[in-house]
Amino acid sequence: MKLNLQKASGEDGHILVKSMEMEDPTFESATVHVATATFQNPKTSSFDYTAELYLGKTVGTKTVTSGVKTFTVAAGGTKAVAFSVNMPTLTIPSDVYHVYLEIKHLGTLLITFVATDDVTVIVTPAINVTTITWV
Amino acid sequence: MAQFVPSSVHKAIATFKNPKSAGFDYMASLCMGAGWTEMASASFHLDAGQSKAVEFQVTMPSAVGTYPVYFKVTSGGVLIGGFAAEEQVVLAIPSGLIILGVTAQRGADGSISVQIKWTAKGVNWGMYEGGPEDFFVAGAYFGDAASNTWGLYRENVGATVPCGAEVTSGLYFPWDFLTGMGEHPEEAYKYHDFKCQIVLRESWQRWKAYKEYIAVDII
Repeated sequence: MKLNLQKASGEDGHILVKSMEMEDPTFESATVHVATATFQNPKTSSFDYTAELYLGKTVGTKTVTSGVKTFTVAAGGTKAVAFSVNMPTLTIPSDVYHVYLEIKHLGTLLITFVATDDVTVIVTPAINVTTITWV
Repeated sequence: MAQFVPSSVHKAIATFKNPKSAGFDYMASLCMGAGWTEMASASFHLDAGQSKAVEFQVTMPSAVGTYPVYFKVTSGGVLIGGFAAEEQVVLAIPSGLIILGVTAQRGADGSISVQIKWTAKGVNWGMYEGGPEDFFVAGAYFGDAASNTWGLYRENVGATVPCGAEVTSGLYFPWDFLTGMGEHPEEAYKYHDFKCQIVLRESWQRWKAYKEYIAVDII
């Protein structure tokens, strides 16, 4: 599915996110899923960037994160970057998280986006039968 | 492979484990037979990673045969698993005399009613060729199991039953019997327990003790 993003903090104009795609927004706890963001550099020079996708309840609170991805986008060019995230290990049947995308240049925060749709993490009930004894 | 007598009551103890990181409520049903006939069910909760032994009281089917055993488990009304037990249950009437149950109850007038359920099949009587023909309760005792004191005895009580049948015999001991064996009436109530002797009759004149003395509380 396509995720729509809006600014959570920072300044516009440094970098654009042309699109962001991920799987179904409901995920099983402790499973790994990948979201892919396509960035565009609106400037006339090439720049190096770092970006981190994380799930959290509030901006800056990183429950789980993809880790920092480093990439370069040429002037006016685009770049697709994949973010792999291990979903939170829940101790309750389900929980809901915001999706944040934080972009920096040389360690300075440029902008943080938040997806307009949240993701739901669930624990699907399961059970095993280990032994049976008759008396 | 577990083997039981048809219609007998047994307990299955199954250990369930929740492999997930969150706790859930479950409903498990023990089923028997190819048609997954539900025999017993239980509700329980398992915390994350927890294992629990869950008991299922099962009255066995009445027909002899081999029965696969299954567990059907739901959580939140959603079926989450069906499991087949490695061992099947065999229902058969084994050779010999099987006591399926004995109950004894004292009436308001002091009388005692006894129900004895038993079955017998395939008994090898060796030298007793030509017989046997039936079983009967040869003796009924009343007393106190704790002290192993069995003071009151009555011979040849109840009707005879054919070999191989599953039978419930009802025995009734009126108050005048209980007080007519040389006991003081007020002492009849000292009998807390009942036991009996069930024998196979080889002929009307000759009978041989086969199974004896099942002590039960008189309620």
